Amino acid sequence: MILSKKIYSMDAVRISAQVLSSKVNVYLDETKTAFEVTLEAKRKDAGPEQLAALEGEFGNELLNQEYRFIVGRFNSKISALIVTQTLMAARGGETPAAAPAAESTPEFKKLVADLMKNAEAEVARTMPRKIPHQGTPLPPIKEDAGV
Amino acid sequence: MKTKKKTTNNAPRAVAPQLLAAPVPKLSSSEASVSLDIKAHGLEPVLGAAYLMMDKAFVSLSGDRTKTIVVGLRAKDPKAVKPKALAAEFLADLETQKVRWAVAKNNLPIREFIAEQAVLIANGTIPAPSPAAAAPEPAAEQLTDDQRAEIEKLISEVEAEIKTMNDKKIATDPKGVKASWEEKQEQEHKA
Amino acid sequence: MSRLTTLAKGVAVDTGALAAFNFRDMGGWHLLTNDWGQFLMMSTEDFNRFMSGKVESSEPLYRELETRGFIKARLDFPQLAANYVKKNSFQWFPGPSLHMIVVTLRCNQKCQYCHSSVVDPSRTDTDMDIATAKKTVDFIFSTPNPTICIEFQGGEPLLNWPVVKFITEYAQAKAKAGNRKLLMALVCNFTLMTEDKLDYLFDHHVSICTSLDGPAELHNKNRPFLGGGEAQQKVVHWLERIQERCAADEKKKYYLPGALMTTTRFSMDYGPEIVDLYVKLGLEQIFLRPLSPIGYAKRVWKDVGYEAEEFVKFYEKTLDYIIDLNVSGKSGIMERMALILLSKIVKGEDPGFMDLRSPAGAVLGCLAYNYNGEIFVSDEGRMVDHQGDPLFRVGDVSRSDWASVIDHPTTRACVSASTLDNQPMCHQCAFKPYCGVEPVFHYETQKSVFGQMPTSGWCVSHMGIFDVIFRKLRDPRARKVLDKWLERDQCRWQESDAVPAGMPEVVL
Repeated sequence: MILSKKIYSMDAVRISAQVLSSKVNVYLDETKTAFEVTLEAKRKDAGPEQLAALEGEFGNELLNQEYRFIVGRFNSKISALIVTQTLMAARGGETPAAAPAAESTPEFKKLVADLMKNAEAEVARTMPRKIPHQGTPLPPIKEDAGV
Repeated sequence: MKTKKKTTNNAPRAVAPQLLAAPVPKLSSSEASVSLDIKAHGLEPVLGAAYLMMDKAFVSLSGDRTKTIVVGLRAKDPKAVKPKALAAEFLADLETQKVRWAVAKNNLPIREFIAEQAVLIANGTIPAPSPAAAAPEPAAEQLTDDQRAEIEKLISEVEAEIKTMNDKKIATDPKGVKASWEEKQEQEHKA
Repeated sequence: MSRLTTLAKGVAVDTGALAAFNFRDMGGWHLLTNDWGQFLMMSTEDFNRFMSGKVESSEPLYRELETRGFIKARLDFPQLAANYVKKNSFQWFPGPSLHMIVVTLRCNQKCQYCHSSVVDPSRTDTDMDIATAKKTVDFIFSTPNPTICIEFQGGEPLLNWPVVKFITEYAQAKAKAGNRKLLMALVCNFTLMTEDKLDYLFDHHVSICTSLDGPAELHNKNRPFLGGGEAQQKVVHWLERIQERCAADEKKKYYLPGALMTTTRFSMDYGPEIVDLYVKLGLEQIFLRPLSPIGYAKRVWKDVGYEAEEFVKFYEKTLDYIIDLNVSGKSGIMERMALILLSKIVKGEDPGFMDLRSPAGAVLGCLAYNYNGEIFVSDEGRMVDHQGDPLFRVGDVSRSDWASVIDHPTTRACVSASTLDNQPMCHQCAFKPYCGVEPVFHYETQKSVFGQMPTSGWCVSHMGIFDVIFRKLRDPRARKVLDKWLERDQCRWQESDAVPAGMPEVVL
């Protein structure tokens, strides 16, 4: 694919390559005026129709990114306000609140120690023996899972 | 002598569609392509319209985003939609995108201002408006066209009935003996 | 036309006088909305006059447009800003309130679509231990929100009952010591419930929720026991038993159990039957949710999944049936998705639904804790980790503090990606004031947290649902029912607000 630098940016090319990385290997070359992109399907049995579709998907993702940049820049003041506001509010201040004084009392510490002791005892009494870690529950999903 | 400064409204206005010559798409058996002058149509509307086609088409762009962009549209399912239909849909979306973007650009400073005001209200820097100042909830939006028509019909029936009652009053009391002072004043005023 | 809809050909437009708005052609009428949550449903003729600047100031329509902020020269800035604050109150919340703790991945069922990516009961290596449980609760109480809701999930949480009890009692002790408002909920399949466990849950004010997909033939197909067997009978038995115990004690009125259904391809033909079962069991609400292709569901999507448009048809048909039941007086059952959207649209309030916020609730509103203490942006993010992709892991209870979680690059990426002003299609959509996008969904289906809205199943299904809801709002018969639902929901929240901080409280 020849992509004019007067339309597309390197950022869009890079992000699109990452987004489609499970389906294609992307090889990039460039001249002064254009990006030269070669897409290699990861599925070895991909025919002409599938290759044409992959090229189309890559083109769509490029447009997705370029237009997202435009919209993002247009609304940047408002979205920056929202993002900053929500993150700052959620943080709850620069320094975390101190633990409540009531948790430092001997009574509270004894309560917690008793809770833990009783819980451990119940686990030992009622639960099946713990086995060593067996690894990730599921292997990574195959690309053609039908979604 | 000072010359008066001419004020101009620089807010972008959407041009009525008929004033711009409609772009003519080039059609092949598998693809439609439309060449668009960016100065006439605007970059954001062109990309916006192209973007909206992505559910049914593979979209390619070529050219120069400061001068002319050629939008290529290839149907994802060629049996379901033909290139001509893709081009028509794209051009319809383009006209609407021009309006959407014009409204957005006209109002961006206002949206930004209100967003800032919201932060100041929420953080207690400025007071929120009192509840009494809030706009009353108009009921009309809840009414369908049929309901509005029904209400107007009822109102005109009631008005007609009131008129009939008034006419009857005059018939049974021609000298207005039973009429109150206020009613007499109203009748004299009307005359 | 595109899914955003277009202006009719030849419509004259004068944008100079128009304030910021988005519109939608609803087929015969038009919808206007703005960022401040105001909306107006109008005839197409009125819409065309509005667009061409031909609505006279003496008309009632002008007043309606003016009070809602659609006339540029007549904007009430303070009021619109206040509307925005009310509608988006969550943007000012001090951190997450919902904390989902996965106490084990073990489960005795093999649900066809299970998001949780469960393992069989022999995998005790996936049980949370007491030390990790304590650190998890300590981390939760280090987050700044004065209200904390702990939700037990799994796997099947009852398979790790000692840890459920420990977390319950330790959290309640900490809530009392720190004067925090604590709500607790257990999501379980009911197959392992006993009277003793139920006594404990009542005594410790833990509300209970289960999954009920519908009549036996549907539920058992979706959610069989490991090794086969019929689970629906157990669910129905315990729902009835808990209701019986609640009815016998006035103080237990808030403990009525909830049930959630998951919509699979098999559910599509069972809409009315599912509703009838919920009505028969005296359940107050039913939540018609689409299944998301995340985690295990993604692997089996070809067998259990469906197109977004199919779900929307199912949703409308089933909602119509529910409304008919309400109108006829046969039942007052409410549909939860509709209630959530109505709170946003009609009341201009945030109902606390994480998925439909801008930005989304990931980290800001909720966190998920895995059995091993790893912290995720959401439960869906945890399921992505099960596939071997740790992108949505933002911390660990053993090593992280709250600041490191909120400052994590993944947190910031999710917040940015789910702010609708950054989304190309959303920023022009008439449903923008009420909608939201889910970064994990888009990562799983489109390989990017931002996604690609024209081709997004999330977008198609949610736009479809909004179309349905607005059509119902315009229908006087349906509107009466929906207004009653809002009133009833309002009463429930007012009752829950009355419980003072430090006292255990049930989740409604």
